[in-house]
Amino acid sequence: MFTAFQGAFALLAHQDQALLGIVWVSLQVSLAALLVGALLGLPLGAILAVEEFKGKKIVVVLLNTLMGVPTVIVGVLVYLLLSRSGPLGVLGWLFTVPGMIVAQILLTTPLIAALSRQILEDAWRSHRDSFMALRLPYRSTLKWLCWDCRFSLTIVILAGLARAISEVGAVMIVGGNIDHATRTMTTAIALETSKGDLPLAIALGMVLMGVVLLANLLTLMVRQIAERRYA
Amino acid sequence: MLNPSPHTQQWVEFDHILVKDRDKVILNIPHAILHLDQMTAVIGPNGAGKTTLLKLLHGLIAPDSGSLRFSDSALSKALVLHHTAMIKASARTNLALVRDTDSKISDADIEQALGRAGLQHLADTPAQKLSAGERQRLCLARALLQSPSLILLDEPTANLDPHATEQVEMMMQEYQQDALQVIFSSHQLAQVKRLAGQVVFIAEGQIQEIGKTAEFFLNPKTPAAERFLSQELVRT
Repeated sequence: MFTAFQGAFALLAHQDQALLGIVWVSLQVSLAALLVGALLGLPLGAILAVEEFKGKKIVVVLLNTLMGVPTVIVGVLVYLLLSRSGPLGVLGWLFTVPGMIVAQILLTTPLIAALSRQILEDAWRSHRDSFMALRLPYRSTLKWLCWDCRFSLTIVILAGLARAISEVGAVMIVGGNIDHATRTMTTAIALETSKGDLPLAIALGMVLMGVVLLANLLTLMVRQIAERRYA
Repeated sequence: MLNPSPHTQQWVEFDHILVKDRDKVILNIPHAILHLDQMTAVIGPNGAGKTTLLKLLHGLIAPDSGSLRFSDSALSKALVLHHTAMIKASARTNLALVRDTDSKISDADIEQALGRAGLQHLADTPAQKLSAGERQRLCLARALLQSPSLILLDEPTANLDPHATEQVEMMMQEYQQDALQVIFSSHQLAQVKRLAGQVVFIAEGQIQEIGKTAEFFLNPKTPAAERFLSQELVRT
């Protein structure tokens, strides 16, 4: 075990190309999925927070369910969509980075939408009458509501990043874990551990933990700034 | 921006107004005419419908049935609610929200409104860190930026200390002098006597009396008003 850790530190110290390639694919997939997930999820959450319509409760329950859906289920669904005989087979995205991004978008969007809806709905209850008394246009209402909740929404986005970067099921199924192409940190850790190549698995685990730790530190910083300024 | 139209004989007519919350009647005004030529106080017990009346006048809520008719259908209105939540931003940004409704509002207008509210030195302070009185003045300044002809204030000095109350009252008097019509609700009868030329007494969702302030306090016409005044005056 000591040797495995020694090997892991050596890989990190020498900036092993295979390791860096895997980290790059992981960040590429997760950050792209996070960006699209935030662009879709935040407006969706905001609209659901301020709009009243028939069947809203069902939509909210559905969204909350999707937030916790197992990643392998999403993986299978996207696999079916992107497979040669599937409706999106013509795109040729199966076992590619874009395909993995699509899978992770399906994971990050509901999470960001569901959490932001809850936060924005609570804020909407406080601001509803005053925003309406000011006769703010609809888009301004959403804009200022999101601005008011910006610190909490930052935490939601970081939660989205954690969900994307740490998942293994969907990217394994959709990406196929192809070396130098679709291998991510999580799929590589699973593979290398099963092969007995512990140094690489441990090194990747350390990087992954580092990314998650960084996300959590950012969350903490954002919260502290918010508390200091607007307590 | 801050030059509203001069006082004219403005009025608002309530015609078979009914406002309900589910099955509960909140306001029921068969017919009434309210002249808007002097500062008007809306008074009455808790739950009488004062806030609902102000929201109705502003247009924030619509009646379930009946109609509200203003002598000038283009009369612009601004409403300051009792609990106005501020967004997590500076006082200036909270004031600048109204720019989204009127792009003609300039930086100079915002600075002028801050100055008028005595908040220039606090312009960059987070609104959450302002005192209750400062926040209320900020709300009044924001309402004024909307260039209303009629300004509606829901308990503008509730929970304020005497100094903050005095500052808010001064702003209200300045508005009236600037030819803005002011209607406010209040539980403070001494304040009503100080500021209002006209009183609307409301109880159980119905306008019971509209009259000159002095006359109302001296000689209330309805038993409900008599009861209310005797209880409230004992309390004050």
